[in-house]
Amino acid sequence: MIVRPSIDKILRAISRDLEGEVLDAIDDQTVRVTVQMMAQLLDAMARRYANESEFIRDESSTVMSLATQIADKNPSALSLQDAIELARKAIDQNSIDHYEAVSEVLSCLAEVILASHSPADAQALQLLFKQRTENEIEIITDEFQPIGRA
Amino acid sequence: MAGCEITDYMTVPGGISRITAGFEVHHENGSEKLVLRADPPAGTAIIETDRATEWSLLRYLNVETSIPVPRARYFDADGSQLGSPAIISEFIEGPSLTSVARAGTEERRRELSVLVVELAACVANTSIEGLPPQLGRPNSWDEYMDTQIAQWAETERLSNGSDPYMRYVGAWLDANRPAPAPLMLVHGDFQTPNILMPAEDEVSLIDWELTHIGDPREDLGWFRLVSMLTPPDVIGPDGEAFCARYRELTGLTAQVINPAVISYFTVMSSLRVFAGILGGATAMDEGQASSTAIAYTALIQSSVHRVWENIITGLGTKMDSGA
Repeated sequence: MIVRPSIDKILRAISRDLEGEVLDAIDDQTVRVTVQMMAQLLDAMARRYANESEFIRDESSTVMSLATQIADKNPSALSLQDAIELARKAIDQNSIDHYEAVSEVLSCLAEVILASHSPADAQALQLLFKQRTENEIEIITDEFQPIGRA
Repeated sequence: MAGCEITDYMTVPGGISRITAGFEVHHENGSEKLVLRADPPAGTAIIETDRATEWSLLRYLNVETSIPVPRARYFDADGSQLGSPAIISEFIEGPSLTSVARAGTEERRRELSVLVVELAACVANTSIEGLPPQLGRPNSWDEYMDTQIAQWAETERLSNGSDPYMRYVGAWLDANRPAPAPLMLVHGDFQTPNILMPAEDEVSLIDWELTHIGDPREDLGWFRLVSMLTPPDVIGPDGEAFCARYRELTGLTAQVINPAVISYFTVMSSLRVFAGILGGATAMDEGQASSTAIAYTALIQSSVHRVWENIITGLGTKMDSGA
């Protein structure tokens, strides 16, 4: 298998060509929008590819840590307990399946914490979403603006 | 339109949910510019909406109200004439309010915010009695909000990937409900790209496919969300003045209309479009749909997540601050 250049570098190269010479050669406004979308998508996918493993590992670790604490305090929160159990089992699956399982834990955690009205837990929950949002913004970048709306 | 000749057909970028194109039609009585809005090929739509409902609404708005809306002229209900269900409307010559705001000075943006508030109030003040029945009629504000809030979790459960923001936001919306408002006409996609400006101080509101009867603050919230994602935000710099004028025009109280409540609806109003985004992503993941536009919504998703997270973190439970 050929592994160099890396996938992120290939995607960035295609993106640059799309935004440069390909876009310059297109007059149709609708097609131009599609090409600009493609270029932005490829750039974002390059950044996701370069960071995905680290983001998944870090987010999973912090989510599972808080979820375990909250589950211990709320033994009646069965959906949370079940989600934690499934996420633990999914750890040996591929990273996307594991991340999906951890995301379900985060969903359950949000519902349990917001129903409990605990300011400290709500703050801890906000930090988890802040971490997730920061990672998502790292992928699309701070400067992201949707193409095609003017 | 048998016997007509069509020229200058040009698709319009930006209308990502429907095929939108301007063209000129030449017939025995002369020529005119029109706009086609048609359903895209099956499996490529980001949001599924009904052209028949939109047509009934447009005809009602044209005939019975003073809302500035392009005149709807022709309707191909089953796609037998144009390939897919389609509406043909009058073409409004002029830039979008987005373009005008981007090119304008701060002073011009303030003027635009006055046009926006008057337009928003004009929509909200429309009597809901005679509106086409297809728009639905919630029994009460509480019931309407219950349904809307429940859909956050429901939408996430229907998608094949977990988006924890959906249930987080749903739980937050439920725990922080604002003061109730009367049920009114809601455009559903009230944003600057959908406001055309045929003259310096004239506006025309397009894209009525998501219109429904609901909480009028949804339109204000959605307007702010889109403005945050695609600046400039003509309301943001003076949200208090915007709310004061809206209250004057609609008769709603400061407890019902204030900047904090609009922030609440900035979050809540995103459900309809976000549900479409998640639905599209699910369809694409399952191989039932495929397009760059659908893939692109993944980036928009992250952008909206950031807005939600900022609002929830910043707002807490201050919904009555304007009361």
